[in-house]
Amino acid sequence: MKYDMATCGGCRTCEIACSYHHAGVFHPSTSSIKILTKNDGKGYHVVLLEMDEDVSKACDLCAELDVPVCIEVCKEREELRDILLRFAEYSGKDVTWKDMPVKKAQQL
Amino acid sequence: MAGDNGMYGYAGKILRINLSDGQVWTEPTSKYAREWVGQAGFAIKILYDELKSWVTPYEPANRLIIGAGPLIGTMAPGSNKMNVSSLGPTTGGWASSCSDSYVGGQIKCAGYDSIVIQGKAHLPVYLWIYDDTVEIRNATHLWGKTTWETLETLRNESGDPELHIMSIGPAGENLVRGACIIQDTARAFGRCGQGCVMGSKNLKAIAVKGTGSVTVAKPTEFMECARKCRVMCEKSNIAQVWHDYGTLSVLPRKQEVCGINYKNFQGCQIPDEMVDVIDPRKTIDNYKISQVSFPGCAVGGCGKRLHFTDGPYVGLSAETNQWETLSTIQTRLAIFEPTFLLKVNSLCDQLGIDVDAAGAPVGWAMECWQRGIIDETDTDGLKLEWGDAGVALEMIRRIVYREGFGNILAEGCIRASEIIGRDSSYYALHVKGQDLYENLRGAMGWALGACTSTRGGGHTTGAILCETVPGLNVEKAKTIYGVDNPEKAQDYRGKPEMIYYMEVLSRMCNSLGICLYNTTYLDVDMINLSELAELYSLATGWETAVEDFRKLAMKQLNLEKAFNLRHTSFDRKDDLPPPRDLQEPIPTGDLAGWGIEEAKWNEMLDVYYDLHGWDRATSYPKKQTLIDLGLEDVVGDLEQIGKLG
Repeated sequence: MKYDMATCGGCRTCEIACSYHHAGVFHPSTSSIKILTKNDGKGYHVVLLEMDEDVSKACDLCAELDVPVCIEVCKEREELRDILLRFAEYSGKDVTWKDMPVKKAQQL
Repeated sequence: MAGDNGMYGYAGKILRINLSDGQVWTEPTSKYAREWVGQAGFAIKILYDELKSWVTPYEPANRLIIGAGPLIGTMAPGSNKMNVSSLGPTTGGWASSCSDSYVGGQIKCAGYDSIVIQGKAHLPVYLWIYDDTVEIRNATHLWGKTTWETLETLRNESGDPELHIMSIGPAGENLVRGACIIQDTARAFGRCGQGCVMGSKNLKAIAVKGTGSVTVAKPTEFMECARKCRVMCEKSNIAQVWHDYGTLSVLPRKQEVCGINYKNFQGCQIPDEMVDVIDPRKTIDNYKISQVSFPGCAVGGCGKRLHFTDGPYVGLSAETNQWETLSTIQTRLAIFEPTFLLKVNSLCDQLGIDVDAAGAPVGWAMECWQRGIIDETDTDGLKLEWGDAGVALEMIRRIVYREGFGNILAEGCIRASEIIGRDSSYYALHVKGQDLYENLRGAMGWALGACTSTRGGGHTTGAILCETVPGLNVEKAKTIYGVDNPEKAQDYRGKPEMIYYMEVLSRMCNSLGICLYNTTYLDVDMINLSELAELYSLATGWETAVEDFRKLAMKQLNLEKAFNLRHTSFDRKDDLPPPRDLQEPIPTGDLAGWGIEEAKWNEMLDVYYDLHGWDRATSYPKKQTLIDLGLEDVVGDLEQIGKLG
């Protein structure tokens, strides 16, 4: 699923974190989240994989974690959380972190 | 699974390419690792060992060394800062430039820690690196194109809209001395003339795709440490300001501390009415379309992509990034139009010229025009009046294409002044031949770091920021630097000790692949040498303490110094500020009347040399210093040329 993320700065740290979550190594090719360049408009596209593709893993929404790893490393946590919640709803999956507040840096 | 050759953190291989005969081979990273750290560390060792003293920057024998350090590609904060090193054309010595990058992660995932390029291709080429596949491809269709056109062409040809490249523009092709290498469209391996070295090899671009991974020795502990470090960075108030406006946020503070270049350093502040007009924060608020950030950055990016919907440059869409462009071109040339910043930044990026190598010669020329030293007969009819944006852009274009007077300015301000003569060299502000962006008056730690830098004028190899940072945690700064006056910018005392500390930190960052803006360099509450040593230890599996880092960094610095001694005539005189900074006091503001006292500068320099174990009279390293650092071989080399301290 492809989402628009206006606040994304394109750093792709989420891809590195996601790959570590899956494999214990930093291997962005295997990430479930992909950041794609937009030709116009604000921010970037965020793609979340519904199923395994080539070496990339399907997004499991980090369902068992307190907070998904991609959200944890993202500076724009609120918008990315909204995207993941929309993906969870679309996929019909329940996640434990749904009601977790998104902490600002000063609260970390 | 470890990287090649059983290494962790490192990919395990160094890719070597000879463009003269097309030979491609690899050597194990273990040949250099441990004794030297990553990108800039490997590079100086290779350059020192492989370049004879008679080699000059444009010769095929020169090496262009592209480094992606052991923390690049990991979750360490700011782990995207690549390095390019060579024998450089601006100073004639050690040239080392870093840039934020996506390419660095690709190089690591392709399986390499460094790419060492030597030789010269017979026709324009570009490198295509896709994991183990390394091809030297024809680039005649790219020659002459801007960096933006080159990126677009290679993305179209490869069918990969996410392809990342490093390329040179016409400035590098035309051997403009201050040509840079651009990563994608806007991030530069700026100073030192690396684009010129790349151009001299007929190498237009490097495209890299890697599908592999980066493995660390102790993943769980590494991730815990990385998390801790990221939280430290995120909690910093300065980091939040950096995220919102980047380095451009510093304008009011720079005005306060007299740290702005106005009319080629004639002023250290800009007129009050100009502050309001050009305030880049307003431009960002008005035109921002995206944040721009790079892998691992815990600040969340300091860049902004803007799109102009009105004004003289309507339709321009590009990244505006750094304060340096504002001070080194816009205020230096007294240009009031606020959107000029993005326009001139984009022009420099497209043409592949460093912003300092554009601003400094044009600023020198405008001052020469102001003083009647040059006129229209010198400038091919251009009227080089302060504040004329159109003339500034045209002059930069002529520099890049080496047209007429531009051909002289393409050599940088000090060489241009030597060509023109007429006592114009006083207005050419440089250190060791490197065009100066840094205001030296009023902040002695910043000034000492810039003047003693082995790469020539520069603030990323030892200069300190903290003495003018507002809201500095003074007590913490005292602990870190081991001095009792870290916030006293005009003090001479204590600065050598602070520079020594920052020389270690910056060398480790520039070698590990960490952006200085995620560290103590920006805010003393962000990550420091202890955190970097911990990350390096956990990544490589080699237990490394801060003291080990100190020794590794000093070994690296002394080899840079020895490299310069072999290739240049630098000595103590080259660690002094330019004459204007020594002779003219700050003209306006709270510091009006304050000037650098040469006698005090020299006393400070003596302390600095003593700390390093360098001879006071010459600045040359002493025999015992080199032996203590494990550089016994260098002793003989320097002895042979009579440059042992």
